[in-house]
Amino acid sequence: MAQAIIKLTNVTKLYGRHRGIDGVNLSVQANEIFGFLGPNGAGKTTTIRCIMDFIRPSQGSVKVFGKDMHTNSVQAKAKIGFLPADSMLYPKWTGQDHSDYYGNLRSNANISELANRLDLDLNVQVRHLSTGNKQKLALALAMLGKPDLLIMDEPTKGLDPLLQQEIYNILHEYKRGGGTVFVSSHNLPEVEKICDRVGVIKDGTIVASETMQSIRAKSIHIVTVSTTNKIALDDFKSPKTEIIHYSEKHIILKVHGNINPTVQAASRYKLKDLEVTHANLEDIFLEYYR
Amino acid sequence: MTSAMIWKEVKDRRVSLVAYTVAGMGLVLMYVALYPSLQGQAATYAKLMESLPKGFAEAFGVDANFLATLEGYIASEMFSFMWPLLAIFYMVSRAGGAIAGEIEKGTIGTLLSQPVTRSSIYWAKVYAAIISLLIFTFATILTTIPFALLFKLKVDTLNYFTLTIVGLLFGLAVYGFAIMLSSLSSDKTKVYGITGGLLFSMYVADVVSALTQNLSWLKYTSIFYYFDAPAALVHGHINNLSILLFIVSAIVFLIIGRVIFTKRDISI
Repeated sequence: MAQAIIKLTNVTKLYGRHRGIDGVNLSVQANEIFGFLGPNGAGKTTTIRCIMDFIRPSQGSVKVFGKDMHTNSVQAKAKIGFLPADSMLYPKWTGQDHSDYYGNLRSNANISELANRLDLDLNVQVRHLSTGNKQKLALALAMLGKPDLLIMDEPTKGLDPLLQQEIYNILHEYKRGGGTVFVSSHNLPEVEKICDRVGVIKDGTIVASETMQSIRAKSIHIVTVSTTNKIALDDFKSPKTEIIHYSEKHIILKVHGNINPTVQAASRYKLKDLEVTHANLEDIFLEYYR
Repeated sequence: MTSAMIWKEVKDRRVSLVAYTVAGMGLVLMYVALYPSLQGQAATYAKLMESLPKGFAEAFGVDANFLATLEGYIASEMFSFMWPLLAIFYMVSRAGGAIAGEIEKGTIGTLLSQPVTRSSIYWAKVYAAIISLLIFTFATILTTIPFALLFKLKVDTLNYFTLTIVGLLFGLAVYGFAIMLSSLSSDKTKVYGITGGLLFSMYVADVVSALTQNLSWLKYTSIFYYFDAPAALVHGHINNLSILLFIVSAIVFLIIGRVIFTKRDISI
């Protein structure tokens, strides 16, 4: 198996008594777009901060391009482009000032090509830019010097759909060019659109790390039963069934795995309507969050 | 790479450098311009000073014959109080903004993601502050010479260079302490508050030690005791202990600051 681009081994970060993340194991392979999901406070940003060596794990190791991020982060960072969740740029600087400064730290790279594509005026001071244009500039700076790995914390937050789509296109092109992307997001349709694989973090622990294909193949059905007689709730109760809605003659269930027992239970009633649908991706992700 | 970071720091903070330097030069010009009219009343002032309690003049760094020379006058009026105050404000604001301020605003995030060590980021900020301190100190102290010549006053040129050396080391010691706190904090107001509070306590200790005989030992705890502008400017004298203390404390604080900055967690 090829060497992982990002490899976290048993990473724990303690903030006093509170655990930020706990025993996180994660690996991102070359040339994949890896989505990192989780509810607020689950540990996404803590994990990213550990990867970028902004904070140091209390335990475990973080390697990027095979380099330990605590002892050899400079070599690794030469190949990493980073887009923080809330990009804080120097308000009095123009985009060109940012490009010149950070370009100087990265072998005189510049962002003019990407700025043109994003229709971004580099001669305007950051304080006069709209949220969208600030994000465009931050994205262009993250891609400065054509890094091999992009680490992005919610890259499309607060952007309009057109710009979101442009960013997805850029990421797909970047991947086609051989790049690897680690992206955290709250936006599930976005994850579905761009990611090859996802990791889900909950309460500081990784609860899933799967390909999008296997997530889509998860067997979760929504079963809606309408009857002419009164439904006994116990008929539908099982460890793999979750009751979403219940009234005397109507019940909606979320069924994990085999739906036959549920359908058989429904068949004992005089049915007015029976509907079985696949759960959407959002429902599947929410399963992990719970 | 480091030169780009140093240049960025100098360029970004040029407005405050110009503001503090112009303010300092303006004060020097004002005191030099006032001196010719006060010079004639030197004997009257000397009598007045002698009538005051012994420790009173000492507490505020004023000699009975302070009006006899421009150096005595300007050392007492400008370089014993106003200049250290300006230098402290400037160096503490530089240090607070350099690290804690950038963490507070989040602007340090993009810099930390670049292929540069934290150590080089830290030293770039320190070198830039030293360059600014050199400009501020040279401009605000040595400018007395041309201003004095403008008013046809006699000056002891060499003593101004002596004071410049003492002033530089004083500023560096203050900056060292403040940047150490800045490395530790994510809130620049804490840097201002703690450094300001400590320096104010030292100033009070210096004044109290001169006014109260049995508390005279307190002067040794104050940085202002070691910054002896009249000794440097009037007598061209540098106290070796002061120089050693400023150098050692600056080096120790700068190194501690570097260790803290490279080891700490930065949550941005």
